[in-house]
Amino acid sequence: MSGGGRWRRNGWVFSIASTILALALAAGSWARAQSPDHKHEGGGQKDDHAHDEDAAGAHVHAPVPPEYKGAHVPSAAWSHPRMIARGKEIYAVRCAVCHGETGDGKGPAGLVLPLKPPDLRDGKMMSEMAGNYWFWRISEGGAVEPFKSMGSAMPAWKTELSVEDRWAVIAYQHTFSGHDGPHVVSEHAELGMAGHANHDAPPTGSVPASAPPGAGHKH
Amino acid sequence: MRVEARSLVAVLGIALVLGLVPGVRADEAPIAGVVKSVDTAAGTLLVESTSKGKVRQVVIHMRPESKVVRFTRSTDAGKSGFNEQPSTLGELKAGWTVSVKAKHEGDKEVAEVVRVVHEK
Repeated sequence: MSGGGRWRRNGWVFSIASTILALALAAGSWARAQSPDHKHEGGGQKDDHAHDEDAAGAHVHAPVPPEYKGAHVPSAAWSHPRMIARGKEIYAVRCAVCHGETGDGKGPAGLVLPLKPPDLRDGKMMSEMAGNYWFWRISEGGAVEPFKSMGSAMPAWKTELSVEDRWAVIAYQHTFSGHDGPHVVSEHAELGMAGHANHDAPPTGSVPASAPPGAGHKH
Repeated sequence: MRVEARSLVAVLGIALVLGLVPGVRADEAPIAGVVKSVDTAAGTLLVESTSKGKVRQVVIHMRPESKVVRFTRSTDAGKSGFNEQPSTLGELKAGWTVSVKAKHEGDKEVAEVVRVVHEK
C-alpha cells in the first residue's frame, strides 16, 4: 500500500471514530440533563429550597404567599429553651430521616430523593430566611409551587403539627447554623442589607399560644 | 493496520464509558412521590410524582427480588441514626411518601427498592 493510501484510510478511520465519540458524548450529556437526580445549577446540586441570588450575591427566596405574610414566628420562640427542646424532639422523629441529625440534609431518606433537602447549617442561607417563609415551607412542604414543580417530596406538616410545634421545629433548626438568639435584624447584621425587608421583626414577649394570622392550623 | 484497529477499539471504548454509562444512570433516577394506591394481588403500587412541573402517576411493578424498606431509629446502645427495616408492599399505605429506585423493563417501571420517606 502506498503512503498516500494508508494516510487516507487512517483519516477515514479517525473521522468515523471521532464522530462516534462526539455522538456518544452528546447522548451522555442529554441523558444527564434529562435525569431528575442530576439537576445542577452553577456547579452545585439543586436542593429543596427555591432561591436564586441577586446581583449582590444575597439569596432571593420564593415569595411568601399572602396567607402566610403575617405568619411570623414570635421573637421569644427562637431562643426559648422549652421551644428548642420541643423542636428537637419533633425534629428527631419527623425531620431527621431526611434532613439529617445535624441538619446537613443527608438523612438516609433525603439521600434517595431526587431533590435533596438543603443544608440547614448554611448560616448565610438560614440567616436570610424570613420566619414567615420558614413557617410557610414547613406548613405546606412540597405541596405548593414552586416546590411542587421542582419535585419536592417534603410533607405538608400543617396537618400533623400544631402551629406552636412548627415554631418549635423552626427554633431548633435555627440552632444548626450557630445562631442562638432571636432571628431578627438585631441578631443578624446581614439582615439589615437591602433585599431582606420581609424578614421577621416581631415584637418581643413570651411565647404566645395563639396561632399567627393566616397560618395553617392543625386539623 | 493493527495500530488503526487498536485506535478504533480504544476510541469506541471511551465512547461507551463516557456516553452510555450516564444514559443508564438516567434510567435509574429515583421516583419520589405520594402513594395513591397499592394492589398487592397485582404486585403494584401507584405513585403520584411531580418532576419538571409535570404531575404523573406511575405504576411501579414489584418483583420477588424488589425490596421495601422503612427507616427506623437505631435501638443499639450508643448508636444514633437510622436503620433500614425490611417491609412489604402490603404495609404501604396511600398517602405515604416513597422514593423508588426503579429500572425500565419495556414500558414498565420495575422496583429495585421502595424506600418509605414519610408515613402519614
